[in-house]
Amino acid sequence: MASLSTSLLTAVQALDAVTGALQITNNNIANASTPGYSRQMAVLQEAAPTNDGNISVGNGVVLEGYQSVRDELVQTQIQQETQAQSGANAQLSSLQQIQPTFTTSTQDIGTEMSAMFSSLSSLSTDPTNSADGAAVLTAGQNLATAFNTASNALTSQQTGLNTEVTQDVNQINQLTQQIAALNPKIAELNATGQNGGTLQDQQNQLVLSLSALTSVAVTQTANGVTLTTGNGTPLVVGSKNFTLQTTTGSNGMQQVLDHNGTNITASLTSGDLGGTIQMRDKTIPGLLGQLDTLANQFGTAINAAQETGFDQKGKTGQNFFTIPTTVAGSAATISMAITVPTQIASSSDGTAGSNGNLANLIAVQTTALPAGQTPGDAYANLVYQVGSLTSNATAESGATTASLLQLNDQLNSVSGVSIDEESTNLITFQTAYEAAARVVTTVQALFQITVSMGTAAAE
Amino acid sequence: MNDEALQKRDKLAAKYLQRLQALACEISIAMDAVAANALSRFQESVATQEMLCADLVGMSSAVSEVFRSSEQRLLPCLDPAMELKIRATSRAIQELNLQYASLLKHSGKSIALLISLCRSHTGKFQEARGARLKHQTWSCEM
Repeated sequence: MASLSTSLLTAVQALDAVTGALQITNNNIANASTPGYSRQMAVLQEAAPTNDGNISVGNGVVLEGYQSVRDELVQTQIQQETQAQSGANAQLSSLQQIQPTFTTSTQDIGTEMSAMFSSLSSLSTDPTNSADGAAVLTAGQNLATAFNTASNALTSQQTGLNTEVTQDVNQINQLTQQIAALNPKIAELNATGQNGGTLQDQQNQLVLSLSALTSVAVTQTANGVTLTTGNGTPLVVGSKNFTLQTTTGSNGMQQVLDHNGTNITASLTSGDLGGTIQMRDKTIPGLLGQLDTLANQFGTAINAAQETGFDQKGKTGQNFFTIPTTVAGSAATISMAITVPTQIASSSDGTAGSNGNLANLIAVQTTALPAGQTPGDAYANLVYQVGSLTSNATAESGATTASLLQLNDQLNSVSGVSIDEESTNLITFQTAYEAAARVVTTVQALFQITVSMGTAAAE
Repeated sequence: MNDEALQKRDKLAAKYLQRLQALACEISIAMDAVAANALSRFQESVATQEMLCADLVGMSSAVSEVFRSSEQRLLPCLDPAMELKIRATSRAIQELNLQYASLLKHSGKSIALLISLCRSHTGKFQEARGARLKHQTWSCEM
């Protein structure tokens, strides 16, 4: 039989529960505009009934604890999109600095290349004209400088990115330390039914900051949040954080090591660190490789044409450019080998007035290099690649920004619709996306029509 | 004869440009709508895009025919300002389209995951009860 004390206890428990719920409501209102704050709710549970013989007497309600209202999936999506956005931004920022070097404006490789062939054409009118000869040497020097400048721009960018790797790793270690320190506090509060929501929000913000730096997988456990990198390297487990280290690799670049000393550099693919490593270890070396190949093959072709002729003193033409024996570093070190106009091998028969070999030198412009393209086309392809990479990174950055805006809107929305309505909305959105994707395809096809229209109109 | 052909070509080019500009505008509207989760605005925009695309595709054969015909070679060049506008609008659409495709990819991934979550958790969502405790989120509460 329920006693008076039991009834009182039930009433006190109910009062505690309501007080707790009111506190939570107040807290929610006070933090309505706090960034990263998640609404909290009181978790009320029916108290276990007391059995009195065959009669079960209810014991009211107890406050089990507090729970932050979090949409963990949306939060995970925000973390993933933040990683993608940071990665794209890191690449975009770097590409925007590289792009001005690879243009079709003045003093770029393409312009200087054309200028050199123009000067050779002018010289063919009178191969003994020292002013025209000097112009060829100047144009050659300008071209070599353009190669050097482009190579230096890429190398400097790579060096800057290398420094960023160390900075990012230091920041990651600081963040994982702070996240790990919060784990036992949150676990303790949760275990005693106290409100751990505020600390949880702080931790979420830290995880989000970490996501901006690198790819992290987040797992909630009884001991708090467990964080690992994309390839499973632990970063935070319970109260312990596992620091990453950096060391100089055989290529002179900073390598990222996990707590066991294993090199995990290649597995870091997103976030600022991932984007930085991608640019430093793949994109820039790729562009540099193509630039070196162009410089080396172009220099070799001009030298070969020079050697088929004779200079103004009747001697077999010597190298026009000095290029290294290996392709690597060719763009950085290519320089003029001849210093005076009389060393230009204009003559095809050894007589001073002959211009027969200038045709061989000029023919380099329209002859495919061993890589398969003419020098001009090879450079244009390089310009296109840089432009395309920049364009893609811009699109990716813009898209992830908009997507993040959308996700944050989802997280913070107060539209108050039911789950059923939400599901319906989501499916309607998905259908609309599919329709929009068809538009994207059509627009791509339309571009070809406009291009052909412009060409025809321009003819 | 030439005057008529000239008039026809220039009219077609102007109409084509107008449709391209409208499409560029609609793609921008759609991206804003996606970012703002404005479903009906997005649907309206997609419908308008579809209409504009259908129109542009329909015009494409006429455009190709007019600009590649032997008659065209006898006509004076297209107004350079008009040609410049068409090229610029076309480039702008390509840029927007690239961003649009990327946005749809990213956002579509989120939507697919949320749908999957809703489906896999049917009946297990914990919804707050009562007007004051009705914690509302755009998607759902776990």
